[in-house]
Amino acid sequence: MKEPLENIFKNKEEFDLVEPNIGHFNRFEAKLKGGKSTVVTKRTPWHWIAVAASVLLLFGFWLGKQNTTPGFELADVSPKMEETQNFYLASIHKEIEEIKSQQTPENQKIIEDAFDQLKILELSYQKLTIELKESSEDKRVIYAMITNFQKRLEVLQNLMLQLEEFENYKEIAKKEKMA
Amino acid sequence: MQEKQQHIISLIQACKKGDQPAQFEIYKLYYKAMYNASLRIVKDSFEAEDIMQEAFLSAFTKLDTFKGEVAFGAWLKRIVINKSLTHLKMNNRFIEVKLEVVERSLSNDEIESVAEEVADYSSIKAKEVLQIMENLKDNYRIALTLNLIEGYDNEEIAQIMHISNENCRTTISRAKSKLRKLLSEKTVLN
Repeated sequence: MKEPLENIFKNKEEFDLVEPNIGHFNRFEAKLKGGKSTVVTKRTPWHWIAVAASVLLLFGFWLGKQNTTPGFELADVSPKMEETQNFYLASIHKEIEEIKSQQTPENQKIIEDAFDQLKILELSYQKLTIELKESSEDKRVIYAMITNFQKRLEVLQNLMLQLEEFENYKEIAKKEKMA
Repeated sequence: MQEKQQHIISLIQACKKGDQPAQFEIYKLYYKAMYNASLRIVKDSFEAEDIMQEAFLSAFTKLDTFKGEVAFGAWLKRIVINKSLTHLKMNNRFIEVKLEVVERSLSNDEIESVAEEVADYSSIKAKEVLQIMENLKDNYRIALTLNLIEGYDNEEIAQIMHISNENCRTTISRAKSKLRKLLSEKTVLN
């Protein structure tokens, strides 16, 4: 069943009732012939300035991208969240330092594997910062961000365990050789 | 009709070669629909004319990308509408309303049922409807124009307005019920 509201709009041409201001044919002809009409040429410098400005801006973003994200960080939500973020970041940083100090050619493969996982998590965190901004600080996004930090710590802790096991295994192998 | 289509196709062929009289001919055929489409979005006659003419020019320069799977008018109108929306955004007048997402939104049936009470719109003229629509807030006005007048479906509008399908459906429903309310007020006044 067609509803009445749509019926008003049955004849679409009825809605195109307004004529452009007088002289629009001439103005268009001028635009067509000139390729660039006066109106267009007047604007052109602005276009170029806009392009130049956006290139500069992009460059700026690129420079700033090392330590900032395009969206909202957890720390932007509230001081308490800032504390949380700092806590996680510090713990993650500490664990990474510790792991790096234990790195040997033999366990390199294991470490690289875990770091790849970390990179994936970091990427999804970046996406979350954008989502946080767009959703105007949706609780679920905040929760997802915290979970993301926790997962990163988990990955690192698992890695520590794996490294320990690897060392143990090496010791045992050594002892067996001796015996 | 068939003849007219044929005429347009041959004009477009000529336009592709940069034939100016043919381009002007195309302009004459379509300017009014395009101008009105733009005007309904930007609400300013000078801006609408400028946008409409720019749209023609850019259509002519990228005519090679027009493959003819849609009618030329529809293709051109899409350019006009995109340009108009970009323009509106640049002037910061189009504030994208993030709906307080759809959790608590009315179901469509609910909205629909509210409206059925007043059903007689037969006396209302297009001009009056346009006037009412002009005073709606931007995203309602745009959603309604695109849906009811230009005839785009929900998905297309979501794409044009850069919002989610769900968000779009809600916006259209709400805008329609708002329009119905205003229309029924008007019919009562008469």
